[in-house]
Amino acid sequence: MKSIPTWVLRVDGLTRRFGVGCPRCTDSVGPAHERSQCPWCATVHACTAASFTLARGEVLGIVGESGSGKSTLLQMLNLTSPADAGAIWYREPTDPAAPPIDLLRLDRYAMRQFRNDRLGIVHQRPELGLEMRFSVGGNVAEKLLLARWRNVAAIRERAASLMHQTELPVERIDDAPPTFSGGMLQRVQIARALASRPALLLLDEVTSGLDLSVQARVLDLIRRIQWEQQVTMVLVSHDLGVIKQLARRTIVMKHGHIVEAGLTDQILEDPQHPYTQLLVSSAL
Amino acid sequence: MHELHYTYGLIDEDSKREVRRALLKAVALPGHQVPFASRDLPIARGWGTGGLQITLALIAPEDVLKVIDQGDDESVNAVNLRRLIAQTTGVSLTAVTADATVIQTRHRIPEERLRADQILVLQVPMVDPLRWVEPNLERATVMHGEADYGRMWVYMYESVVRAGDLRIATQYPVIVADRYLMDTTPIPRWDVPKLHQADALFLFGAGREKRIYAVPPHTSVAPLEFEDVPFRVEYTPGQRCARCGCGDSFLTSHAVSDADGATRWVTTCSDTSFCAARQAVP
Amino acid sequence: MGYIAARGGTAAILNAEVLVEHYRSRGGTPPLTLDQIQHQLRHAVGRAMHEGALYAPHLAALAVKQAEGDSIEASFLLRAYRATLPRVMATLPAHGRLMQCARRISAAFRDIPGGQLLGPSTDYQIRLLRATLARESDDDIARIATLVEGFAATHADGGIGHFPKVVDHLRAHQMVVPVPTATDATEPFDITRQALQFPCPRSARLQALAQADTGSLLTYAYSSVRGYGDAHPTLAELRYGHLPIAVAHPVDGSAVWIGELEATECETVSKAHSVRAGDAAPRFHLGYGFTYGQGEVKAISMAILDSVLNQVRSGGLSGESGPAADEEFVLLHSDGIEASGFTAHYKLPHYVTFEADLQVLERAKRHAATNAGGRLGRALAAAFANAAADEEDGDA
Repeated sequence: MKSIPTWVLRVDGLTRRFGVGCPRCTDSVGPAHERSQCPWCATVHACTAASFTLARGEVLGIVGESGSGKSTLLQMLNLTSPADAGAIWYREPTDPAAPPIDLLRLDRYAMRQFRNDRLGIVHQRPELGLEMRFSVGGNVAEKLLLARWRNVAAIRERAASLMHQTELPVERIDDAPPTFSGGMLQRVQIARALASRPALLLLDEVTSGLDLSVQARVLDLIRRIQWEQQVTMVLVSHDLGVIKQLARRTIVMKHGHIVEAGLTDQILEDPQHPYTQLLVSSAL
Repeated sequence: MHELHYTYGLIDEDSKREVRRALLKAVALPGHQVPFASRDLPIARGWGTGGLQITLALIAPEDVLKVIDQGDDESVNAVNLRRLIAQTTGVSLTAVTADATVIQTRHRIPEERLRADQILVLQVPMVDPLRWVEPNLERATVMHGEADYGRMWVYMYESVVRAGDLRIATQYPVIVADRYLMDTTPIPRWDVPKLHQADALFLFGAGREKRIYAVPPHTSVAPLEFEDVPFRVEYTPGQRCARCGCGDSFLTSHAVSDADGATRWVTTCSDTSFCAARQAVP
Repeated sequence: MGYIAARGGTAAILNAEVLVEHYRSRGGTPPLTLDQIQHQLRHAVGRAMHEGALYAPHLAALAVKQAEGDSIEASFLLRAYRATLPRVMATLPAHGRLMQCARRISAAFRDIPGGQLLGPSTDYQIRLLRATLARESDDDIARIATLVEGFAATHADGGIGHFPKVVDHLRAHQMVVPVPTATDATEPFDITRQALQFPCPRSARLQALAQADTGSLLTYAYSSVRGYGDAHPTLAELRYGHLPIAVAHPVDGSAVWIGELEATECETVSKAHSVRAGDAAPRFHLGYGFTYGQGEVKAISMAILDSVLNQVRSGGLSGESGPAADEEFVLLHSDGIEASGFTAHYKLPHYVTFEADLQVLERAKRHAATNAGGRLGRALAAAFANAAADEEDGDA
């Protein structure tokens, strides 16, 4: 038996709304009311009291249709969107003795440092994650430069190695992203995200919009990296197939609320919440 | 209509006080850009109005002023600015670097090491090195606040990859006191090391961009560079000044006509006062 | 000697000043009087005032004369003069509805309370050169005066020139998105006292636009309606006339009228596209434009830009945004005095920077030779050639 894995991330009551809110909000929005926008004050409750724990090396899937709050949740985890309430407790995996910190309590400077050093993100649209004017090598190098790498030869060697790992043609290291295909750009994003050996990798609909064969290759790559490097990941997707292939545990979101959480296989085989049942049946 | 009369130092006292407050803040936060209102002056924006406002706000009747442009006291713009400052303050003027207490300059730092009792005022055209990677001020301000200089470093990396070297001739970006990224103004790289751990105070004024910043004495100023592609100043071995013969100052090229009418190119010191002093030594 | 070719020196600068005077006067014509300029070149005077941000018609005429008609140079002279003046106090908000209108039109409604007043306008003039103007005499001028006296006789009706505002009517019916407006108690942001920083309050935006270069505003506004934007303005009202100005009495705070400005005011409404979360109902977006003198093109351009930026700020812009929707871009590049000063500064010597550029160019040339055909990338790739065989990229 393995010992109980230590957690890396403990998300507690994470909440985000757009608008000022009103006393009638609570009784008007959520899955039971089939809406996340309050009809009285028009406030959108994008994410309400999300809580979950993530163990080291675990892959957590977040599934839900568009507008369910999964992207807002991911942006809060990426520290690029503020939260109105809740905490994101983080325990440094390389230093189990260190006390957990609430990432939302960091000042902006410290938050930026944390994002540079410990987080990696792969966006659905490559132009959100890559600087199109820079070379592919430069995009990967940015993470290393932020970690104070100051030797061009060493940076290029590491960038080349990351490109090799992510099955990108190394000789194209100095080419600009617009000359790469969509599937390749997703792998450039993955190479970049892995450069700083992040404690947490966030994946936002990474295979949406790709051809099926290209999708399969990107998913294989993510699975291999997870297997080889034991990277902790949060994977957002509206595609149950993607979730099934990669995520050990899954949470299902609807109208800003987590309606079901558990082992992915269990959720797929025996969905409890009516919404999950609908998702599963429509996917099959 | 009567002749118009102006106050000492042209600008009203309240405005000068505002400039001095901005200067104090700038000295307290080395390399940080401090906004100030920036008065309209009778010289055009982009022609030294930022440096001029600092000089006018600082200069006292007992000060001795030197103004240079391209290192040259006799360059047209230097002459013009000196004329304006002299007319409105009556301070003593000099071309000798060692005699000056306040030196206003564009594009050069004098060759001689400045002393603790001297202030160098630099005219600034562009203010922020981040403009090369982020032209939006609102976003660039956040980037400075978070010391988010990753993209700037990639810009340097790309320069090495594409040009084989740090492809920046002037306005070389530096990190001041291990914190803020700063534009050194269009001085050549030759002058950048003079900012590091200096004895004198360096004040930077951008009139059109409405920002003031400073490098106080004995402050670390580190050019962005790589271990294997280090920052290097301009230097061509064997090249010497055609007038004073020295090989250790920043040289610029000039066309001269020989007696027979033929044109040839020679190099001379850009710092004319330094060159004159060298020539005076037998 | 002869080493430094372009050593200016004081003599050259002073001689240049004399030459400018000479070029202005060498035609041998009688000197222009400021009265002539002020009254016969009123648009040049008005432009110098609104771009120079100083209401002083006589000084503006002087500036136009000194600048030999160059509008940016004239406004620069006024702007530099303004900077030497103490700021005594701020006036009370000037209300456009108090304007004594010489002209007042609306494109939104045919019949507006008070009616349309075409006034002095070239809008419907056939633009043919009038050769008679080349030989204009005092008699001709007297004849024009007689004609206008005739108008006044037929149209005299007591309260002439005061009209209710069209936008007030729209406001009363909750048809426009409220925008922050100054109240008597709040002093607006003053960009001459504080550096413009972003995001900026609307009063700072309006001040920056009001002193911007006419041509720049025209370009941005035109781009936003022609194809690089989502602006759909309707001119609710354009009025030109005399606007009374008051300050608060230092003791009892009551309004003391100190004079009037000749000014143009423009208000546009533009269709509201989408409603953001937290908003009540679709409404029009307002835009406001103001200039000294009769600067109609600038006032309209300013109003369009203000309305575009109001839409951006409230999240109501749904179509193509374009450069005119970027507040920083518009405000930081439209000041004619700053833009022309910096553009002209390239005339200053750049020997030092150019010498440094030359050295960098030399090194870049050497590198290009080394890296011909992407040699460096291929060399790096070769280092990984022994690792797992590079399979063909399926999706390349």
